[in-house]
Amino acid sequence: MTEKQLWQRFKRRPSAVAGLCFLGLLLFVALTADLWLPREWVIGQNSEERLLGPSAAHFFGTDETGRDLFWRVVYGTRSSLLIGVLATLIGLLAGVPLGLLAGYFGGWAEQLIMRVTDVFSALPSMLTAMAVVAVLGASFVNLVLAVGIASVPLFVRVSRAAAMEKAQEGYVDAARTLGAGPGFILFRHILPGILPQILVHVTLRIGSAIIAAAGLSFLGLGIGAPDPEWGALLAAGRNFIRTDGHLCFFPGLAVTLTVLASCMVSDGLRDALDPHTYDT
Amino acid sequence: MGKYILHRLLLLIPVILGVSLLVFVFMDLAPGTMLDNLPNDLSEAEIARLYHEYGYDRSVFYRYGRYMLGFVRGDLGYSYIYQTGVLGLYLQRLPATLALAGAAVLLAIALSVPLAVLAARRHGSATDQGISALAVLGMSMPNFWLGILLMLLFAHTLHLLPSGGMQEPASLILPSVTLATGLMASLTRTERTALLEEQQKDYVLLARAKGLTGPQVTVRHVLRNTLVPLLTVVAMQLGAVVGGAVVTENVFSWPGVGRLLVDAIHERDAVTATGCLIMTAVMISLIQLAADILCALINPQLRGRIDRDRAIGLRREGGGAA
Repeated sequence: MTEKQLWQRFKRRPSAVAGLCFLGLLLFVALTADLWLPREWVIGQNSEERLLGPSAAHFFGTDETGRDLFWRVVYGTRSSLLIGVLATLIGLLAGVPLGLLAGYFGGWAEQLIMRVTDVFSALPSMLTAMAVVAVLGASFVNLVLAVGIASVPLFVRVSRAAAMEKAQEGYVDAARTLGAGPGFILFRHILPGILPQILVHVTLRIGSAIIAAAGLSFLGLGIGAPDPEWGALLAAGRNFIRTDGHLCFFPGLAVTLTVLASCMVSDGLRDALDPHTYDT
Repeated sequence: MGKYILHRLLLLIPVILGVSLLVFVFMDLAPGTMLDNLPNDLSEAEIARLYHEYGYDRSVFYRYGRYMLGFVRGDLGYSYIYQTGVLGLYLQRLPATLALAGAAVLLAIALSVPLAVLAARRHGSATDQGISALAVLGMSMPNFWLGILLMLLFAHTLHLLPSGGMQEPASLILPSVTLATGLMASLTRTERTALLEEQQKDYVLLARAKGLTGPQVTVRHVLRNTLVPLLTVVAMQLGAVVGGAVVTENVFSWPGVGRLLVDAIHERDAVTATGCLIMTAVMISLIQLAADILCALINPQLRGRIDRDRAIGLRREGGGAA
């Protein structure tokens, strides 16, 4: 299936297109917020407007120091989304080559790679990420590393399974018969073939990476004030949960909508790839 | 069957050795040592003796070897912060986590199977679409947010349930519902797909031709054949459940292993954190092994297959939010 056909099928699902648009908007905000969002709106305190509920002046209300929650959530897109995307990128770049090697060559290379992956996956990815933060300390870069390292096993497994399937196909045999080397076959024939399948997991994983990073921040193991991040905003709002629920509600809503969008894009891609799936 | 179990048990040993080595060496890189927070009244000579005994004048692999010799004897070191042995500390917190995770897994299975049956029986209908949409929503909600929302509604507003702690049986309800939601969502999706695939098979047609009604075929034949993949996915998602439990325990002040781990990291209690991480990996591996053995008991065809990825063709729906 060509990219064009894939896109044609993807377009047929309104939810997938909506998810893609939303993610695109978030990415735009994340990359450009520094340019157009006045810093004063994000960190400016106002002792006369403390703990206000949502209103026309403050869409999401204000926090305990009178900072506008809407702009803090918008600015938080920067940290949260970039962590999700960069962490997934780390998992992808480290995991896919290993999975390709294991799936295509088999033998001792596969044994070695898969046994190490087994060891890594024996520890839940959330706990791996916690251990990384415990050792390296809490910062933006370490959060990316922590969540990224924790997602490597997923990409090794997915790309190995996909490469094993592709290695059986006739055109790979044909390339081998024509004298193509393994490197050429892997990166020119197999990798492009399994890329769409991997993309399904990439979009899904961006969502769960955002949840993982927000969860770490929520546990106090992420990045804190004054730059807002969704998990940290939510954790800060917990102190006022009995009286001011909006402080927890909106940052969590931002996480949920973002992950929802990534799930919908992933589902759309999966259906476009495989007409036999039974998704509605 | 005995041979299969033995084979799987033997395969577990390198995994446990590997994960303990990984965790130990990595945690050893953290600032501080396992001998931080020593009592103040120790003399210089005693401290030097302890450092020598724990191998801090030698390589990390010596310390790992020393740790593992203790590990097989049930000694995970001594936490100077909690003033007690780490294994005792872990075992004291384990029942709370097992109760929470167990309740969540049972709840997720009990709710997702009927939902999936409902969706699959009316494939393409509004019911099916509604259930699928709810499942995606359930997968997208971070459990710390869901937990706080449930707490706001049922504890702070309606005053129906306790907001945290573990004083009464009702305290289990909110945390386990919170933890179950993500798993329930991904199980509903998996089970629905499995049912739809299974419904296409010839034996279903035959059973209908024999005169069985639709629901009879579903319950007696189709559902039964989807239980092994379901169980496998539950086992694979166990890590995500435990990761979620860490967060959920912290939302609801549930006194389990997850809270112990987070507290230990905050207090720089390296020995407790290391012990919790290794023991969690061991526990998960053992439960997954039990699940695989159960699957092999139900379906003898699985006994030859050691490779879980290949055995279930890496179900794509299984990849929920970790």
